[in-house]
Amino acid sequence: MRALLALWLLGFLIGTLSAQEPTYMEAATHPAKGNHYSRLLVVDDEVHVKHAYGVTSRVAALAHLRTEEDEFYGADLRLKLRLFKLDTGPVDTWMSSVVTGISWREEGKTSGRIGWVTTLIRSRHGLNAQIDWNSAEEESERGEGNASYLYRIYPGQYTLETKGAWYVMTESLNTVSSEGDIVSDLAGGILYEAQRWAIEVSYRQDDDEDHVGFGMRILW
Amino acid sequence: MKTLIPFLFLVASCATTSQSRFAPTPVSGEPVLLVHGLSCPLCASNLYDELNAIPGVENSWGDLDTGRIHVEVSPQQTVTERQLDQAVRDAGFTLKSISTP
Repeated sequence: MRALLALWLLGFLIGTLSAQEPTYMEAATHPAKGNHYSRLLVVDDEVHVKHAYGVTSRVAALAHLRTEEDEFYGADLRLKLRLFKLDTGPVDTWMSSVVTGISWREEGKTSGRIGWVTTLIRSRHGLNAQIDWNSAEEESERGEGNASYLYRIYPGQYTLETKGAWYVMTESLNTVSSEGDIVSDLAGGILYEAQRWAIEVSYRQDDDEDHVGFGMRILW
Repeated sequence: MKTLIPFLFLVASCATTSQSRFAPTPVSGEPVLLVHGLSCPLCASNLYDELNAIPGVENSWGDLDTGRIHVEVSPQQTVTERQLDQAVRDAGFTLKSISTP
């Protein structure tokens, strides 16, 4: 637990070590201007469809639709605004973005969301840190504090022939209500990223049960 | 409305781009770009899309470990350094230098 807390704090202090996006939490990655990045994630009965569009090199429009047992469960429409990006080497980068917008839930309830996410990549290592605040009407407001670490297991070095890369990833996902209740989940998985698509499997453990998420990503 | 003003200011500040430090100097053949911040194979595909969208660019490919991105320019057309820099910036990366072998 202490190690996770240290990782989470480290993420806030220095950003993230690698720009690859983990399964559950947000990263500060943006698709290029005019590009689309679509994701499908299935976790038990939940289906998440995420879409990002590069409005400019620094602004991305995000949509997220959630269903559970084929019923509408929630949706988000948000903008991700890149505050800064510092590229310090061929692969290395550090970037931070503000993410803000509207969230819809069952029965038409809406709420505002605002958050901050940072990503740091150093060679084969990647860290992401994220905080997010959801101001829900007639319900307790909800905050999230998440952190993740990704490690590129193959290839050790990129070459001209490299067509994809394998990563292992771990995530610490924490939700805090305005009453002070904290729910913490741990997740660990594997991600294969090709040049135009990616697939992922991630095991997530909360207090009550275990979940396995299967995901697919496409850049177009 | 007052609460929207800081948000709109933030959007506007993020939407603006700084001036290119590269001149509209023509380049031909197969220039090699030194690019930083490429991160991952899928991230780099964003760059290839932007470069290949420049009229006159036939193909682009690269080595992420060195940041050396090869651009193949059509012999009948000319591309400028500034266009290449703009494409790299639209993809969200940083162009350090351009060399022509």
